[in-house]
Formats: sequence, C-alpha cells, structure tokens
Amino acid sequence: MSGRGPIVKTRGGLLVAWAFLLVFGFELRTALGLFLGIDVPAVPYLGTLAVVLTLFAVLADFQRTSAQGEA
Amino acid sequence: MSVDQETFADRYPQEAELVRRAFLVAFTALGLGALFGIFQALHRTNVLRIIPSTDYYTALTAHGVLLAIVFTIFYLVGLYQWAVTRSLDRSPTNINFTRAWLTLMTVGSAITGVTILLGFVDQIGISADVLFTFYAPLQAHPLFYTGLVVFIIGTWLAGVDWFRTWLHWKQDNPDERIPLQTFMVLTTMIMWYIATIGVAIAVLFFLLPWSLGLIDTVNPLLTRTLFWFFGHPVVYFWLLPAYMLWYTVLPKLAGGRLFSDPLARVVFVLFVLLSTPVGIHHQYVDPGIAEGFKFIAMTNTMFLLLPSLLTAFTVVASMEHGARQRGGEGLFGWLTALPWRDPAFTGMALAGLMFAAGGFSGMINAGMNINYLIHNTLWVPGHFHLTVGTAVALTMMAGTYWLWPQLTNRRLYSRPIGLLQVVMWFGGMALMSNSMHVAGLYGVPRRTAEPQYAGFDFNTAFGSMAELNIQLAVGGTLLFVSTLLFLGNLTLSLGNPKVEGLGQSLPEPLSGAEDSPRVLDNMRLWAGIALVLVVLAYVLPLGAIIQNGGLFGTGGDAYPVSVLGTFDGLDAVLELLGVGR
Repeated sequence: MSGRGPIVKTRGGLLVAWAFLLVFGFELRTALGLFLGIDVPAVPYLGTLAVVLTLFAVLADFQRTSAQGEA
Repeated sequence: MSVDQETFADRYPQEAELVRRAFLVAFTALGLGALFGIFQALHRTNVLRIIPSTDYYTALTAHGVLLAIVFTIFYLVGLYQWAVTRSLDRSPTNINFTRAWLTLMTVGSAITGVTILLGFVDQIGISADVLFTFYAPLQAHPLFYTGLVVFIIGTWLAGVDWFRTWLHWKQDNPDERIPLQTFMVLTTMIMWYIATIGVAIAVLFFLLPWSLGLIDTVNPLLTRTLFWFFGHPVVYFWLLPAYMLWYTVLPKLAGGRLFSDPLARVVFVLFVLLSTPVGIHHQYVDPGIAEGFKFIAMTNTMFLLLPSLLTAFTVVASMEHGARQRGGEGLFGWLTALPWRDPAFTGMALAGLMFAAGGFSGMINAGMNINYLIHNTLWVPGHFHLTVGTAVALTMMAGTYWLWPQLTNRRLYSRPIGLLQVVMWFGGMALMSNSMHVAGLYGVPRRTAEPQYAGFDFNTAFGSMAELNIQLAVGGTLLFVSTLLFLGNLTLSLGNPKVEGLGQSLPEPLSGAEDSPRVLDNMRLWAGIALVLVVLAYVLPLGAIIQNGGLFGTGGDAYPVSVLGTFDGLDAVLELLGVGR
C-alpha cells in the first residue's frame, strides 16, 4: 500500500492545466471550422485565449498561495 | 528489488551499464532523427531550406529509420533488459551473450544509418533513399539491407536471452506466476518473432538479392505485403514498452498501485494474437489484392481497439486510485491531487492523452471506405506523430526521467526543465499534428519536398494554407527544442555527483496475478493461436499475389475485387499442395 499523503497542489498542475486548456481551445477552433464551417480568426482568438488562461492561472496561483499563507 | 533503497545500478552494475549503452544509442538516434525532422518541417513549409529538395528523401529516410527503428527499439531493449532483470531479480544467464546481441544491434544500426547518410554525398555513389517503408520498387544499396539483417538478428537474440533467463528462473520457481514485467517482455517478443518473419523473407529472399544484382526483378506487391506483414505489428513493438511503463511505473508515480494485473496480461495476450493478421489494412488502395481480404484485415484491426480501450480504463483507474491515496476527492477533483510537478508522471499522462487522439485518427485510417479520403496525405504522418511520435516517444522520455537516477545513481539535473520539456512536446505536437491532419483533409500529400504544386491552390474549409504551414513549422520547432532540452538535461545529469538512496520499488497491483487463470501464462498456446490467425489472414492473399504476378514478376492484373470471384489464392495454395480443384 502506498503512503497516504496530503494533497500536493503545485505550479506543475497549473502549467499542465494551462497548456491543456490552450490546446483544447485550439482544437475547438479546428472543430468549429471543419464541422460547422465557422472561420474563427487565428491570431485574435488564440491570443485572447492565451491571455485569459494566463490570467486565470495567475489568479489561481495567487489564491493558492494566500490559502497556504493563512494556514 | 529486495532492498528498497538499493538502485538497479547498485544491485546489477553490469546490467545497468548495458541498459545505459542501449539508451545511449537510442538517444543519439533521437537527436539525429530530430535534426532531420526539423529540416523537413521547415523545408516543406518553405520557412527555411537548409538542404536541396533532391536530398529530401535522404533526410526523410534518416528521420524515419533513426526514430522509428533505432530510437524506439534500442530504448525497448534497454527497458526490457531492466524489466527482466528487475522483475525476476536475476542476472542474464550469460552476460557476454547479452553484450553480444547489443553489439550486433549497434553494428547493424551503424551500417544502415551510415548507408542512409551517405546519400547526402553524391560523389560516393551509395544511397538508401527508400524511406522507413523500404519495399520495392525503391531500391537501396545492399549495405542498407545488410545492416538491417544484422540489427534484426540482434533483436532475435535479445529475445532468446530473455526467454532463457525466464526458463532458468522457472526451474527455480516452478509454481510461481510469471512476474508481470517479464510476462510483458515475453509476449512482446513472441509478437516480434512472428512479425519479423515477413520482413526477413522480404529482405533475405527478394530485396537483398535484388540490390546485389543476383535477381533482376521482384514482385513489388509481394514485397509490399511482406513489409506490411511486419510493418503493422512493429507499431506495437514500439508501443508495448510504453504500455509497460504505463502499467507498472505510472501507477507508482501517481501514488498508488496498478488496478489489475490480470487485465494487463489479457491486453498483452490480445496484442500477440491480433497485431499481425491486420497488415493488409495498409494496402487498401493497392491493386492486386481482393477487397475481401482487405475487409478481413479491417475487421481484425477494429478488434485491436479492445486492448487499447482496456488499457485506457486500467491506467486511468490506477491513476485515480493513486490520486485518492494522496487525498484527492470528488468526481474530477482527484485530478488536482496528481503529481503534475513530476516530469515523469506528467509526460506519461500527456502521452496517454495524445494516444487517445491518435486512436481516433487511427480508426479513420483503418476504415476501408474513409481511408481513401486520407490515403497518402499529410493526415497519415499527423496520425503517427501522435502515436509513435508522442504516446511512445514522450512516454520513453518521461520514463527516462524516472529510470535515469536508478541506472546512474545520479539525480536528474533539473526537474523543472524536465517538466517544461514534456509540456513543450505536448504543445508542439498538438500544433504540428493538428496542421498535418487538417492539411491531409485538404488533400496535401505526404512524402514530398514540394507539397504546394505550382499554379495549384488547395481549398480550405477555414483559415488558410499559409496558416497551416506556420503552425506546422512552429510545432516542429517546439518539438526540436523539446528534444534538445531532454538530451541536455540528461547530459548535464552526468555531471551530478553519485549519491545513495535513489532506489525505488514498484508496488504490487491491487488485483494480482493470483486473480487470473494460469492459462494466461501459457506462452506456447498464445504463440500457436497467433500463428494460426496469421496463416488464416495471409496464406490466401499471398498465394493470389504469387499466382497472379509470380514470385519475381513485376506485375499482374490489378483486377480482383472479390474474394469469392476466381478465388485465386485458394487455387495457388492447392497448386502448391499438388491438389486440383
């Protein structure tokens, strides 16, 4: 039996979540284009997606650090 | 391992040295192959042209052979040597024999590799621009085939070595079940022995004598069919080491245990049975093979989804178990409790995710009717860069982050660089394979330095071809940088001091071997059934090809659309047996 440890929330998780959601958003554009014929302009769409996801990541990290500080 | 803190290098120093040697060859090939990869990505998108277009096939052959044969298979033999030694807790019966097959493989790879690279030097007059799929009518210099023969003999002897070690272990432990990792090694090698029958016949009886001028012509359809007899199961030869890491190492990294040992055994047995009688699905548009035979190959291929789906279930269940052991809760909340900071875990998890996407595009390839839409387009490289290029390659790199300290007694130079490397691979491959898939749907061909024909514009459903080209070039560049980060990280690790206490054990599964029937360990039975299935799938098509075109004939009628028409294959078999119909 492996040792039961505390939940480990790391910036690694944030990085992976950020990359995963960016890829997911990117693939969503392909699906919209191929299945529905909706041509979403690449640069503004992907740029906005990256900025929004980065903001969420920074906020999540801030929230996590604050929670750890209070504990 | 009997002592928890002892590393593999402590307990088996000679074997660890051999594993490191195998990995050294594998990673050298990875670096060279990646270099040729970035050449191609930038060349065909017209971003940067370092080589002339006339050398494109040389670069493409080097990229394919170095990565798909040398990198993957040397990694496999290193990993499997580690796995057999570790799981049986036993050295090879004769370590010099182990050294001999590894040397043979290295020499064979060097001969083949140098022959390919000589294609860049026109003055020498030696070349092997035949691509990874080296069937006729493309012809290589005899040295290419000779190196390949030496290499494959080396892999056969590796299997002999592992079977011999297991048989000796069995004499000492007659009532024990085969340890899971050794079971995986043995089943993989049974599959390999069966698969390489095709390529051995193609090279020894046709391609090598043809390149030496001993025979004037070969039957191209016959050599293609023999190649694909080997060419499809070889993808599982690449994949099964990744499966071994997913089944036996990933659960530990996640903090838990393998969900089910019996399911893992069933999966490997299914690969032994089903991986070979499917190769004709690579030949859906080949004339000269009846549609009925292609239909049978398609049906068999669809059965192969079963072991992959079983794997997806078992591996995700093991990860969830690990996450819940670490305190993870909720329907999806457990995902946040996984060790995403660990490059070994993250690399394997992202590789598994990409494999699911590769499986979906693989189903398109495997469907007889829809395959015609994407045949010989850029879609196909898009597919296999997700499977062998990510599920296999990324898992191997991630697995190295875990194995390396145990093989060297040195810590990894940088785990954050490792994490960045695996995430960069994931992002780079998402960009590159996406552009390849989409471009393939627009009809952009594969295997050409000049995909944008003069005066011809591909119709796009959205975006533009220029955008897809940039996407491919950026993705390829990210992959190349990721490879450099991986190789640099490992190289710098060699400068770290040797330390103690890096040893790690692998936990027992939640449901162990005792929960499965002993018949699963009957290697003779599975090998026998696999051979019967291969005979059923291949005797009639091969018979028909030989009857129609002759053993060395250059052609034949591109006619048969139905197995039930003239049934030439059956006639050929009956003729060989001396029985009239």
